[in-house]
Amino acid sequence: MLERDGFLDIDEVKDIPGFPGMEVLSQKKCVVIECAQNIPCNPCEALCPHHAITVGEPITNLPVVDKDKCVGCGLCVAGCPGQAIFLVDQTAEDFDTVTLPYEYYPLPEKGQEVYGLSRDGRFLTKGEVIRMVMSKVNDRTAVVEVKVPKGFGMQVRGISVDGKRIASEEALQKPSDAVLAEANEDNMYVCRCEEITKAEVIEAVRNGATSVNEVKRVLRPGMGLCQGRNCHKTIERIIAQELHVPPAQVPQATKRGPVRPVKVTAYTSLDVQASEQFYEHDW
Amino acid sequence: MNKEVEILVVGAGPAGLSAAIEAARYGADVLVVDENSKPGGQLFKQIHKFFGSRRHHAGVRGVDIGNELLDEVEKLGVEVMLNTVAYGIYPNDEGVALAVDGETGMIVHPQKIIMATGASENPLAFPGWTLPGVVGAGAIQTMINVNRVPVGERVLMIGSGNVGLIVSYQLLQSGAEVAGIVEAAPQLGGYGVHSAKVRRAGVPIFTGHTVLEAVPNEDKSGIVGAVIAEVDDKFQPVKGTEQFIACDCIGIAVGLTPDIALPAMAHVEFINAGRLGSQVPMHDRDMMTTQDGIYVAGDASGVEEASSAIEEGKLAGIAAAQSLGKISEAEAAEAKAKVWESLNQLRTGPFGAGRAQAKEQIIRQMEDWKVKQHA
Repeated sequence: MLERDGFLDIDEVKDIPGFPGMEVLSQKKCVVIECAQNIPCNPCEALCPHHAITVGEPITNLPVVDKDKCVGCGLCVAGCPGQAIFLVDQTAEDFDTVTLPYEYYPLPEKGQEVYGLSRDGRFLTKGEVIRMVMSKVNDRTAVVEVKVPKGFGMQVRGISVDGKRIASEEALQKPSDAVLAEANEDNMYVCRCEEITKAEVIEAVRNGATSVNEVKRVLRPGMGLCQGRNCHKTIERIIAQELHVPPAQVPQATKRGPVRPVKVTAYTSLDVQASEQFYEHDW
Repeated sequence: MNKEVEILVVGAGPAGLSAAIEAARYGADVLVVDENSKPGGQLFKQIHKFFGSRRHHAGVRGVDIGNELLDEVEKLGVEVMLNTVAYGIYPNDEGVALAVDGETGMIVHPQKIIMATGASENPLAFPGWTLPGVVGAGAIQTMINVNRVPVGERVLMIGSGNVGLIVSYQLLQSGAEVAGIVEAAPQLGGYGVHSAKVRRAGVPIFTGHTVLEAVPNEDKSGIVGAVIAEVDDKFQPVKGTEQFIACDCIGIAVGLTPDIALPAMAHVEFINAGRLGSQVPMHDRDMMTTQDGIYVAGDASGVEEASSAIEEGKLAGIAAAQSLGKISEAEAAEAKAKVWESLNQLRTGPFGAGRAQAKEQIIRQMEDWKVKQHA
């Protein structure tokens, strides 16, 4: 499932309007657009000189492939910002070809043997590069056509030239108890400028601090170089957790100048007139 | 040194630059300041092709969009001061205080201010997060994409929003290995096409998992791995599900918070805009805040993405030029309508609709606020 696993499985691909149908692919080389979310994007539509791709209005429509108009030229492959466009050719009897976008170095060379990878990066089969296009209009995205064994045309969606970027088959290890014992949040610094731990912030909240400003007055988080840009969010969350309120309800720290660390000379070299007037503060 | 300008733009990212371009195009005298040594904000770290339609530069890499904006800024003769921090805004006619190179003070008296200050990354505190090797996703991008310095050999990414997914892909491109992507929610945060790219490059994704600790090496000069665990429906780690993942770098991509220090100093009103930020400057359809003449744009007005930031910057630029009398109301209305059409397009679909709603809520509350002010 795309939203959970990050890739479409083959059955999901077959359900989207960018898929021309298995039958078409056995008759001609045709584009397969694996675009399944309604994001506002349409460069593919303009890239096709044969008007075989339609997005239309609204721009969030999924691209629809007109299988009759597609000539399999592949001009759309490099232009898709999502790298979701492939050409598949299953017309030959003993092999298929897949044309895909590629943006890694080293670039594959024509005739080179490469690893053919699945949509989740697993090694499926060896393939041979039969075309490599690196044209100016493709703007540094190579378009690579790979010959793969019959039946792999709708399976292979990535290649590896050097054996890198292939999913690992190894299972993850369990951490040791000694390592797990280190996962103690109490001693962790929340504010690294002033070296204040989470336990100290919790103590301040239990002693009555209810806002970032109040914690700041007790412990000084936000008084260092980062001026609270790093710690205040975390402190908000700790206060929220301790007081059982949503983080957005925790009063945020007052923002004051200088909003960035500057030398005192940034003030002393200013040409301003001293004023006798006092301004009211918001605290 | 004191200086007067018609429009001061704070931040030379996508929002700030496009605001400056629009305003300058209508003849306004614009000064852009940015604390970094290079303009472009986060755009020059974005080496991937952008989504959208042609008018949003779809299919163009972020870095090239940045170059286009810079070309235009130069052509229009907009002054851009780099290494310059707008460190404070002092109302009561005291102006905006700048620090050039961190030490030389300067006061600017602008008639209008466009605050395009962007956002900062959210921290994630867990045991070991202060160790060398635990790095924000933005810093990883700066290292690998801008400075071409490897950040680690094997990286574990925390967070599966578009930032986490895109940076994982860019890490692979830089030659690093990505040990996995950890996401506490039961589903991915970012686009499926981004996750599909890294999945087909062999990167595992651990949805419903959290990071428990970064495991230090012997002398605590770095890390040797991370412990992750499954979470229950209250996002609490489940005992017994702990797993060790070997890595020498952990990337943190758990969202962004609008950088609102400067708007806060200007005493603008804030509201909780949910997913766009829990504290966001209230603003109207012209991107003007509750302080007359102070505009916000881009992530500072609610965290979205670069294409929306560009459009919001345009709105602020047009509106500021209009309020200076540089263009007629009719001309401005037409220009703004075009930008809105484009913005609305970006805020559609399952990923954009929530943002559209949150933005509408900000604007509605601003209208209510205006009514109250007049009452």
